[in-house]
Amino acid sequence: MKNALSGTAMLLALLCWAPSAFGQKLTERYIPVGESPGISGKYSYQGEIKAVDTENRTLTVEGPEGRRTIKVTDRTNIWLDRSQQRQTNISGTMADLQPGRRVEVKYVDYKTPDTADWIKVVATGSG
Amino acid sequence: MNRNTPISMKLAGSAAGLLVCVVAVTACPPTPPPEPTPVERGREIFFNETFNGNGRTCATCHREEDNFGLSPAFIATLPPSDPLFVAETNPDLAENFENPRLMRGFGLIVENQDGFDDLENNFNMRGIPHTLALRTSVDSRDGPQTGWSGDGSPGDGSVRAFSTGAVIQHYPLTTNRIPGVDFRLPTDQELDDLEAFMLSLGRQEDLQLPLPLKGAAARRGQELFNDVNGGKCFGCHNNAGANANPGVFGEGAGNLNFNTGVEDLPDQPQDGIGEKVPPDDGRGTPGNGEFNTPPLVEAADTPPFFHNNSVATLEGAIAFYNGDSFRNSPAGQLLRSATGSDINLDATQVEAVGAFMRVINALENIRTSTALLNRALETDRQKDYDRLRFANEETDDAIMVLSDAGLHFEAVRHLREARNLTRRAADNASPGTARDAIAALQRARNELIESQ
Repeated sequence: MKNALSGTAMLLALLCWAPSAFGQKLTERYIPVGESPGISGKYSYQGEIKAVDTENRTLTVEGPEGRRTIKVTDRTNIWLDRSQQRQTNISGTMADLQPGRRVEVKYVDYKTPDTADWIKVVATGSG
Repeated sequence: MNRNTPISMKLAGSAAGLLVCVVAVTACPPTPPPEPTPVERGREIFFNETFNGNGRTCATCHREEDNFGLSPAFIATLPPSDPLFVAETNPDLAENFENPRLMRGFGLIVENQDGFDDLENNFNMRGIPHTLALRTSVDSRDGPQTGWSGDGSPGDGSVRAFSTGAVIQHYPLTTNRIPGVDFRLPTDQELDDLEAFMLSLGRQEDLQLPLPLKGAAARRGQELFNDVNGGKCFGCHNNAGANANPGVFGEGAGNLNFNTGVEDLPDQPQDGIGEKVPPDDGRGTPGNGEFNTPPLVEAADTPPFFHNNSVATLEGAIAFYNGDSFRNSPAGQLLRSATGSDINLDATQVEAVGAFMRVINALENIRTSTALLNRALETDRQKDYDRLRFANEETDDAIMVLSDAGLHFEAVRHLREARNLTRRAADNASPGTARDAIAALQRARNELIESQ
């Protein structure tokens, strides 16, 4: 039986191959900075925004691990973490990435550590 | 002290003896109960922890009495005050949190896997999958696959992280979903414990097919299941589990996702009642139409089937793969190009595959029931009672899945005997009766499969 399949097996395998695993990303919005299970401290880093280059869409963050610059793409989710104000976390934009704000940045994967998958920004004041 | 000792001295001697005893007891404090294991702690959280939310727990939707899933038939037995129905009792959750008609009528719940920005329009209605055999059905070469479309967990996508997503989706006091206000998120320790408990449920390993089944229908069904010119089921459900066949998809492919065209089924039962049921685009945002491969050993007693509960019967779910919705789907077309033909099972063959799936499900129920009875023999009475009750739930399921298709009458007779004995064991706390129930289960098993 298995031999009968072998000629076509890899074709099926190649065509059906699933994309990389990814979690329920949009639920992340409600998880405060530093609390993403299995991500925070492993596949993300936290720090303070030191510089924003809106033209090149990059963000420079300084944290315990040093200073890192990361690309923000159209596919990067940005969320405003307002949990400290006891308000709903909301979707953000590049404009919310302001120097001095604390952020958590998750990079896409280990192959593309210089591109942000999502960024959570701690809101200050009213947002 | 002899018979002539004055009574006062006897009393004094007794008092001294008592004092010695008291001192001894005080000097040797009672042995503290053993620390609960992570599985035990996880069980406690699973059944009782509301995370400061709307009153739901994990077990609100994943009922132990309903194979850790939740069917419309079971929902119909619940009182109006059950926290499942919070959308009907909490005004803050009346809009865009659940659809009571779809929940009560079809066992469907709201999922916002494509985001929470437009709750009124951007949602999916999905059934509640069981959480059995997760140990065997989550891992893949591309990482963990959870939920109906494999992307059910936030964070790292793992079983451990799943609970965090569930709290946010299903537990909030309001749809504002403010952490610390509408719910609290599970701690790392709680996530560890919940993961340990969930992974402990059901089978811990896959079957190794073919099994030496005794029934002709189940045996033929197993042949068709594993036949590249027949049912072709084994390609995606290797050993009737949730993992892809390594000969087809390569070693370690594990649990995969496919677009099988379930969304294209005509005449879906929930479409005819005038409630909004948006198309479900499956995995990712935007979705690619794919849904996750579930294990099949657990299928027969966990209807209805597919992510939207669109098919009520096991044989209907098997027959789905004969139809145009599957044939025209990406998975159906790939199967045709890879094997040279569509799946084309006649009615008797559909029933044979069904018989096979029913028998392997009954065998799993017998295994679970036996394990619960054995554990009940080792523990205290109250836990005995609970375990015996759930042992009978499993035995009842075995009776149901066989009886509903007219299979293995003699096995069913032994199962009924086991059920009665288990009831008596629960009533009388009699170890002997529990052992008799185990023996009856073994006799039922012997009717289904050659001893291995």
